[in-house]
Amino acid sequence: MQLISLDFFLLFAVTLLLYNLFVQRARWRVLLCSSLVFYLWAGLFAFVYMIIISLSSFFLALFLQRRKEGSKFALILPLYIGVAVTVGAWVALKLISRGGDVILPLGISFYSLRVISYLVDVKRGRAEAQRGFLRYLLFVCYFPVVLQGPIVRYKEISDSLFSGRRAGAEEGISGLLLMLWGIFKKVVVANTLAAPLSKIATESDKYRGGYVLMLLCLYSAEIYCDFSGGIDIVRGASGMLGIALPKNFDRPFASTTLREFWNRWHISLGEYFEHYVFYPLSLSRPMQKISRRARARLGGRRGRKIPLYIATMTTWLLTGLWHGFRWSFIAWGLINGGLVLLSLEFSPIAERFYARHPTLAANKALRQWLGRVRVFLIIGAVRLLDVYGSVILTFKMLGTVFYDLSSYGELERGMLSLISVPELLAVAMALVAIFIVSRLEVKSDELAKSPSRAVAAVFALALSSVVLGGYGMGFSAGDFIYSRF
Amino acid sequence: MQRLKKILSELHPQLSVTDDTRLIDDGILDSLDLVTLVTDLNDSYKINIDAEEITPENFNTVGAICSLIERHGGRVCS
Repeated sequence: MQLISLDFFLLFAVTLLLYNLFVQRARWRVLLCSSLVFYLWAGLFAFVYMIIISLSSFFLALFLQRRKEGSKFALILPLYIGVAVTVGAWVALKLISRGGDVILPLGISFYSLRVISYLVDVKRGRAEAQRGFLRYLLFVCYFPVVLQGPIVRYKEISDSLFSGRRAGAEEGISGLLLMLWGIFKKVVVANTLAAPLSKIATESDKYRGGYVLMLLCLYSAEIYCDFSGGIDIVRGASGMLGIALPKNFDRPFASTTLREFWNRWHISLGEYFEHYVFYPLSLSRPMQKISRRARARLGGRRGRKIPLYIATMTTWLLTGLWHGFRWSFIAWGLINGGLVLLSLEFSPIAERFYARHPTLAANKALRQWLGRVRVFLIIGAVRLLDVYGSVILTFKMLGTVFYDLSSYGELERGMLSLISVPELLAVAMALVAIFIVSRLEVKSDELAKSPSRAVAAVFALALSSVVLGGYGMGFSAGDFIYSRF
Repeated sequence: MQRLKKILSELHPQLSVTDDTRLIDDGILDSLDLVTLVTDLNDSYKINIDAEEITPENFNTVGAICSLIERHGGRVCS
């Protein structure tokens, strides 16, 4: 079941209706039933696997909370085993599913992270273990967040998930607006660009040079609209149920540095890995030992950076592997990690440069725009690893941007053979609208306060999605890029 | 407090840190900065702030960081 499908909208509509009809104490059960239906729809294997993970982690959490006596190692060992088994099963299934005989259980990459964070938080005393299995099961399989996240931690969502609180009128309208905004981004931009960009990527012998540059730019638009559009649909739907979910994107293309970009893109994943991998690893005892030895050999300033570098690269490697067990994802993670560290090292050099050129330094707008263009191109170039699926091919194709100059002459004609003028105009208009909304920081909850503006926005979004949306041949209507995780 | 502000200014030389500066909410300190800061604080104050204490509540203002140091038995920020 995809997020943009009649099945999903039907399931959501029935859920919303029943949720509002039932008494408060029973409403979480409506969510649970809908979520279980969602999983059953995905297949029996997906359903059974999810139940097994839920049962085992549920009992393990209760055990972790109750067990207070024993050595430090004895107390932490069950947690390590639980995490190892969850991760091990997930890795095994990811590897097996590459063969094609087994389909990866729906949402496994997302709920596995939720389960792990729950076990760790219970062990650390940051969350109280849930004593009711069915409530815990709802946390694991809450259907709006199954396909694309955001990755929510137990403490962030448990109160609203189980409270049975209904959304107020403004909240409901805000949720509807957010859903429609997500649908608009998805169908008008992402769906329209999917087929032509896929063709450019798969026929790499034919589409080189200027086409690769177009792919870099347009794929950034496609993946942003696809992913953030899906998140908006999820947040909007959940908001209409009175359950607030955290933002997963915060105007990422406004970033002027790479570090800033990764604080604005897929925020929940970044925060998760920060919290559960990066901070514990960089401040762990082995890292402190490495830091002491490095400072003794290299001096204080350089030496203290060594654990930071190791933890950063390890975290990025794991982030890449989370996306997929392919060399291209491993390279994606390591390159992004390396670039973040490079930007850390270059930051003082940049500051000294601007100190020597005060006129340039004073032109804040120019500096910001240069930064944004730089970040956009670097992130877009590294992202091509996902598009081409091969490290060597990606670098080869990026090289053609600089030496295959003849491709630029035929670029216009070539692009128009891939995407029609009306489709290009639709995408362009949508991107302008997205830019304006982002720049003005228009928020759905603010719009919802004014009924006339809300109605106008609903009408405009619905109409433009229907009229301008990509529904033609050559794409899968709901083939979310991130749903494959 | 001055010692702490000196540590913070070494992280971001161009930043003028005041008691009202919201270090996390305003996106001034990111995860790399926080790890560097904690390492420097642990060394400077001879304390042991661990990963679980890296939260927005503990690092959003200079005052919050001071409280954290003092909870670890560090000398009073001055």
